[in-house]
Parts: sequence; C-alpha cells; structure tokens
Amino acid sequence: MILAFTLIVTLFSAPLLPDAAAIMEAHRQATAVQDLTGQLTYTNISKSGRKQTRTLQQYILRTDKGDYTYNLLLEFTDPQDVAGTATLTIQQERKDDEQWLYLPALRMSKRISPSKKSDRFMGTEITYEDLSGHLSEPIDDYQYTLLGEETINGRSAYKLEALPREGLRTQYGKRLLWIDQATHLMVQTRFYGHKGEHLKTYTATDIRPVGSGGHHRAHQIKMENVQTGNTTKVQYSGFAINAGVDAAMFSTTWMETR
Amino acid sequence: MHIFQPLLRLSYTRPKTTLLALFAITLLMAGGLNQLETRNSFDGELPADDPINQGIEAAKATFGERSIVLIGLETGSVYSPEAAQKIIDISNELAKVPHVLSDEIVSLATLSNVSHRDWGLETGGFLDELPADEAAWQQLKADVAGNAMVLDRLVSADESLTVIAAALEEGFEGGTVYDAVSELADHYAGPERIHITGAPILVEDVQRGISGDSRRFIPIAIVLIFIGFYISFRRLPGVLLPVGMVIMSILWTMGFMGYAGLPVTVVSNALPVIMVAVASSYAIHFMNAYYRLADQHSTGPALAEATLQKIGLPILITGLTSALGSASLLIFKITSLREFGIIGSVGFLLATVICLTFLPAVCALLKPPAGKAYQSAGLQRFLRSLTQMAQGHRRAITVAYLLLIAGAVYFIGQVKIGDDYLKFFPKSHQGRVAAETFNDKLSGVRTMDIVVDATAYGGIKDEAFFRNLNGFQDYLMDYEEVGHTYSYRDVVHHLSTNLNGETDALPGSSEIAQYLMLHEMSATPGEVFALRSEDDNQARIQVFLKSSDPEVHQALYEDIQRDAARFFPEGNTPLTFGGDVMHRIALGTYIVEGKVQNIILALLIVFLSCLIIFRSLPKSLMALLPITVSLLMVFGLMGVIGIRLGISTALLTAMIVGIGVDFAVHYLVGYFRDREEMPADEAITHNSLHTGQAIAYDAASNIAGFSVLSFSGFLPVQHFGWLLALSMLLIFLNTMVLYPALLTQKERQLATPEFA
Repeated sequence: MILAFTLIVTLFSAPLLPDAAAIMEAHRQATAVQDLTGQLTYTNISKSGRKQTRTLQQYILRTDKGDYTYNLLLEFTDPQDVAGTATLTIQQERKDDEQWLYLPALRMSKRISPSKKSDRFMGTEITYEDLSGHLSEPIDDYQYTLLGEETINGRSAYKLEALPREGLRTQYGKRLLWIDQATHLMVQTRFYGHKGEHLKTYTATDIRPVGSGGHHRAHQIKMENVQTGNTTKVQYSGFAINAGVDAAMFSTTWMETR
Repeated sequence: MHIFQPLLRLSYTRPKTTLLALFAITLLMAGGLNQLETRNSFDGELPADDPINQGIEAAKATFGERSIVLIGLETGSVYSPEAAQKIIDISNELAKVPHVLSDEIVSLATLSNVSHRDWGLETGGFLDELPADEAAWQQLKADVAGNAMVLDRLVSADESLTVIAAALEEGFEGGTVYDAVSELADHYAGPERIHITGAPILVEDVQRGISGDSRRFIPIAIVLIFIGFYISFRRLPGVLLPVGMVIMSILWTMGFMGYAGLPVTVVSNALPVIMVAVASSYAIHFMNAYYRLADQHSTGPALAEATLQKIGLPILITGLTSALGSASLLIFKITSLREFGIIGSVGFLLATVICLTFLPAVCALLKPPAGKAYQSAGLQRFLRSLTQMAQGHRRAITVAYLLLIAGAVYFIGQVKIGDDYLKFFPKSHQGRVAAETFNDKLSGVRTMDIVVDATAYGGIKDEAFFRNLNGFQDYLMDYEEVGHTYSYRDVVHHLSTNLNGETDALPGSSEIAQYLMLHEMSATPGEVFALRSEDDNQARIQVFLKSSDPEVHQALYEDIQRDAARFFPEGNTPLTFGGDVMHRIALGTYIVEGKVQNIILALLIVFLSCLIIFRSLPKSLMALLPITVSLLMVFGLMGVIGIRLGISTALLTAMIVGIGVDFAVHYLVGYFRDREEMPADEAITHNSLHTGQAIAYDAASNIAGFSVLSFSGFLPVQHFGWLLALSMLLIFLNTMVLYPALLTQKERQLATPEFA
C-alpha cells in the first residue's frame, strides 16, 4: 500500500517530459520553411583577435527533390569590391549537392565540385555538415537521448545527446543539443570528435518572431572552435519566411544575367 | 693586498672558523642550483629598441607567428599507394599530438586545391581519397605540378620528398611535442625515411644537448684536473685541496646564477668547464708556492702565511683582471653574452676569494710537507732550452713574430661572421640532415618575411599596388639563393590561371578582390591572415632561402633595402622585415660591432689594471704583449680554417685577455722580485724555470679543462673549447719566448741595471 502510494506520488509530482524523438521532430518543424530570405553579416575572428567581416543576402527555397532539401543562393553585398559574387547550392537527398560559383569579374558562373561535409562554409568555422543540420536536422541519421533540462542564456531548454547511427559518415562522434522549450529552436550545440574531444560550440541568441506565421529565428549565432580558438559570429536581419521566392533565381542564368 | 690582509689573516689564524663559514656559504649557494633555469631559444637576445627587432615584432603582431614542426617523408616516389597512405596517416596522427593545432596541419592530405577541369572547378583536397587508377595518379601529379604553392614547397620536383607541417599552439611544451613527433617518425619509418625538423624540434635538440653537455663536462673536467694536479705535485693534498676549491667555485657560481635568475644558455653552458680551468689555475699557483716554501717553515699556520705573502698578491691581481676581462662582455648588446660577462666576473672573483681563504685555512691545519717540492726534470729542461733559445735568437724571433702577425692580420679579414643555427649540430644530426634535405630538394627552410605596407585600407587589392608587388617578387626570385616566394600574389595568380587559363595580363582591382574572396571561402583564417592584414592594407611576402649562410642573408637584406624603391616608386611604401633569418642578421651585426669594442675594452681594462698594479707604463704594456699577439694568431687561424665568429666564439677575446693575462702577471711579478736579488740574465733564467713551471702547470690545466668543451654536442662550443685551449698554449709559449727575449734586449740596451 505504501509502495503503491509512493509510486503514484512520484509519477504525478515529476514533470512530464516529451521523448527525445518528439522534441527533435518539433525542432525540425520549427526550422522547416518553404522559403526564406534575409541578410546575414558574418565575422571571422582569429584566435589573436583579427577580424574579417562580410555581408551577404541569402535566398533559400525548399526543393521538390526530397522532404527537407533546399536550394540556396548566397550573394555578397559588402565589401563593395566583392559585391555580386555568388554561390548557388542545389541540395539533393542522399546525393552530392550541385554547386556553382559566380564571380562578377569573370561574368560567368563556374561549376565547382560538391563540398564535403567537413569543408568550411565560406571560410567560417561552420562546416557544410553544420549548415545542413542548421537548415534541417537529419533526424533519421542520429539516435537521440533526452538528458534533462537546463537553462541556456535565460531560456529553458531540453538537453539531448545525438549519436550518429552506424555507418554514417560524419565529422562528429557526438553532439550535445539544447533545444529551446518555447520555440523548439537550437540554442546551443556542443560538437565532439570521434575520440570524445570537444571541437566546437554553437550558441544562438536574440530569438525573435519572424513574420506572422508563428516562426521564430535566432538573430545572432556564434560558432567557437575550441581547438583553434577561432570564432565566427553571424548577425541576421531582414528575415522573411514563406513570403515567396522566385524559383528562377536558383539558376546559373539568373546569376549571370541579373 | 694590505687592505685585505686582516681578512686573509683569519684564514690561517682561525682556520676552523674560516672553514665552517665557507661550508655554510657553500650550503647556501648550493640552494640556488634548484632555481637554475635553461633558456634554449634566441628570442630576447636582441635589445628591445633594435630596429630589426622592432620590425620582427611588428610583423609578428600583424601576421602572427606560429612555431612549425616539419615532418618529411623521403622515398622513391611520393606518388605510390604506400607513401600516399602514410601522408594521410601521419597527417591524421599529427592532429592528435599534444599542442598541435589540428586544423593547421598542412600536407597533401589536408590542403585544399582549386584546379581546372573540363566540367568546371575541382575544389577538393589533393588526397581526399587514394587515387584508384593510373589516370587518377596522373591527375594528382598534374594538380601538384600546376600549383606553384605546392610544388617545391610541399612536394619536391623529383617526387622523392614531401612535407607535412604542423603549427603548434602558443605556450606549447617542447619536450612533449618532441617525444610525440619522434615516436610518430619512428613508427612510420621504413622503407621510407622520415625526417623531423623545424624550430621547436631543433630548439629541443639544443635543450637536450645542453643538459647532456653539462652532465658530461663537469665529471670529465674534474677527473682531468685530478690527473693534472697529481702530475704537478705528486702528493694527495696537492690533488684534493685544489679539487675541493674548484668544486666550491662551481657551486658558488652556479648558485649565484640560480639566485640572480641568470639562465643556462648555449653560451653559459660552457661556464662550469671554464670555472674548472680558471679556479684550478689559481690553485696551482698557490700549491706551487706552498710546496716550494714548505722546507722553510715548521708549522702549518706559518707556512700558510708565508704562501699567502708570496703568491696572494699575484692571485688577487689575476683574479681581478680575469673578472674585469669577463666584464668587458657587457659591451655587447646580445643578452646571453652580457649575462655571461656578469656570470664570469662574479665566478672569477668568487674563485679568487675561495682560493685565498679555503686553501690557506686547510694548509694551516696540516703539518708542513716533508721533502723537496716536486720538479719535473723534463719540464725544467724544456723551459731552460726555451729561455736560452729566446735570449740567444732575439733578432730571428722578432722577424718570425712580425711575419706571423702580418699573416694573422691578413687572415682576420677572412673570418666569417654570424652563427648558422643549423650548423650548431654535427653533420650526422638528424635535425640538420632533415633541414639540409629540405634545403636541397625543396625551396629552403630558412625564411625571411617582408611586410609591404600599401598605406591605405584595402590597398593591397589595388591593381597598381599588385603590379608593383608582382615585380618585386619577380626581382626576389632572380636571386639564386631565393628558392621560393609566397604572398597573396601567388594565390591570385593560381586562381586566375585556373579560372581563365594561362595569361600574362595582370588582374584588375575587382578581380583581385574576388579571387581573394574565393581564397577566403576555402582557406582557414590562419592561412588568410598569414598573407593579408585585417584591413588589407599590408601584405606579407614569405621568402624561402636555400642558403643558410648568415652573410648571404645579410647581403640579400641590404640589396632588398637598396632596391625596394624601384618597385614601389611612390617612395612611401615602408618595408618591414621579419622571419627567422632576421634574428641572425641582427645578431651578426651586434657581434661584429660588439667584438671590436670588446677587444678594445678588454685590453684597456687589463692595461689600466696593470698600470695600477705595476705603476709603470712599460710594464703594463708588456703585460698586454703575449695576449695581444695570441689574439691575433687565434683570430687569424679562424680565418684560415673557416671557423665563424658567432655567439660562442665571440667570448674568446674576453676569456683570452682575462685568463691569459694571468701568465704575464705571474711572470712579470716573479721576474721583478728575482731582479731585486740577482742580475738580469740570472733573474730571467731563474724566473723562467720557477715561475715558468707554475705557468706551465697553469697552462696545462687550462688546456685540459677547455679541451673538455670539444666533447660538446654543439659545434660552436667545440670550436670555442679547442680555440681557447690553443690560445692558452699560444699565450704560454708567447710569454715564455717573448719575455726572455725582450727583457734580455732591454736590459742590454739600458745603461742602468734597473728596468723601468
């Protein structure tokens, strides 16, 4: 009798936590968009404190080639001497992405070989694998375990461990994820190597609603490379989600003739 | 001497108290040994206000400076599955070495490449995966050959050598890195040859060499003086007392170094052996006098007092002149030489104090030895015939010396200046073999950095500036000793060629900016910031040099400074120089400048000291004669056989003057004492035989002591050791030949029997 009472009290007094899979699905839904535009300014900061800042306009459009694959057009707007330089990425599910580069000085686009997961995105501390996860967490590739709840930068978050499934080619042996309970956006990620060494830490702050569709986005992110001491900071502005993007933009012709 | 007499009297009137006090001081000084530190790099050797040093620091502040470990894989062809797999494996394993920055490893396995393909641009790494077929191997070779930033820098043109370079984090532990990298090299060696080098490896080699030297030198030197004292005196106290004094002198001096925060360096590493030689020479003169006077005194204190009366003053004088000679090194602006000047001065003074207190105190407690003092019949015969020859052939001796001096002066002009860090090591040393292999097969391992200031924000992207810099780099490549140059020009050129095909036309400003943007997108921040400043107003050109001769570097540096205005005609484009060779250039300049001043100062100090002691100009000038002649002969010999005047050999003058003047002082003091009691010819012979014997023992102990340095793992220390040993022999011979000849000549010319 006492045992049964204790069990009932324990069950009803503990907060009910959703399971890891449900949290990750909610996270994927929170990041999934049909299209997105906005401006981003990234600053690479070397360990010694030297900085390099670039601004670009991003255009993202969900493709019809997979559930969570996107076309991505990035066009530099500042500094002026590189304005117009652009890259176009066509994601393909379970296949190599197609990529093109446009340099205004050449007045033509060149196809470039697909980036590897571990390649740095635009020379930042963010790799193409990180970027892909940022657009849409590949939840089928990982096994998630809910570790508990923590407060990150004033926001209540679920803490999860993500381990790659057998055979997945990835830079990371483990990731620790903190998912914001209110918006289901990632507020912090710690990346670990295959030997368990801490590689990088991602943090997202300044989370605000975007548009009227109930979407939220972090307007500031930071990726710190623990191994090298280099950091990339990204500042977003002018987000527009599901406001419509012309599919014709995602072509070499558009880059060359606009 | 009389002002020290009350103090020195205590040593034989209260010998036990004196010994107790000395023992307590020895314990106290030994405590300083725990605080001794080793400094193995040349950082901080230059004065902070030196313009070259300021340039090096400015270049470092803008472009950073990483310590790089280099691993070379040498085999028949690096384009084989086995070699390529090792390149990948070593690159991966290096990332796990403590203190290695895992994303700053540069090798064929890690480096990104942009190369033209029929379908567009290939932007992957060279060895993302092993080539699967012959066509893929050919493509890899073509990609390497088509990338001027890789060919001759990472892979040799003959395909037999490739390099894996790893940058280390700041504050790395050299020993840990050295052990891990050596283990890696051992693991992957065979059939390929694995070389390891780079400044962190070579510096650690120096560190380990210094420790090894110290462990070897002191026991060998002490055994040698044991033997030397036994041969000289043939009695047990004659061996044990000087050895005790020498050990105390070393302990006190090294304890002083510890307390004063003066580190062991490649220069001060030689100190224990120098202390053995110097302290033992003081002991020889004391013990020689002690045994000579033994039959005249019946008690220990009386004999100790008589010995101090006879030899105390010359020992004090020689101690002071040696200390002042060493202090003359303070004229140098190079830190380790200045430090050595301080350590030597204090050490020689401490040895003098120990000699004049410890030896009389112990002798006062002993019964005077029975029997006559030991005299070597062979040595006596040799000294007698040398003196007779000098007195009898004065004209021939004068002519011979004039010819020798003329020859020496001629060859001094041929002495090469500056140390080549690599040549610190013997030819078979693996770090030297590695660096020489890299020099032969790649574009060189020594680097000079030239920072060019475009003076305006973003100025390096301006096409006019780019054109100037392009011409300047082409000019640098015209020098035979320049193996390669690397700057953002090469990045722009490589991308332009792969995007547009080969063209002679230089890109315009917007193209330059966009190519650099493309480089940023694929390179690490470290790679980008190594070439361009944050505001794109400065560019760094790395100049890889095949020559390791500091004088070649100096000549190139002077040429570049002279010619730079041709390429940057605005005239307001300042060049700043950095890189490892610049340290050596500045050191070379200071060595030459300091050397001349040091020779003048050392001779002047010793001359003034002699003037105070002898109160006679001719006698003081005479005291300088054997050392001046010997100095000319030694430096002439360096010119003949090609020994460089570097940091270690720069010490020679101070040591030769400071230590060598002892022979002259002992000879002249002895002669003028004898002269008061006997005619000139007899005084010369008597002094040459009696004082000459002590000087011979002194010279022999110095020669034996300094010869120990020839066992050093560092060539400059080896050279310093045997040159100093040779100098001691020359000063001895010059003293024993020149003085009898000159004194005889002078006495016969003077109407009065008194000289001076």
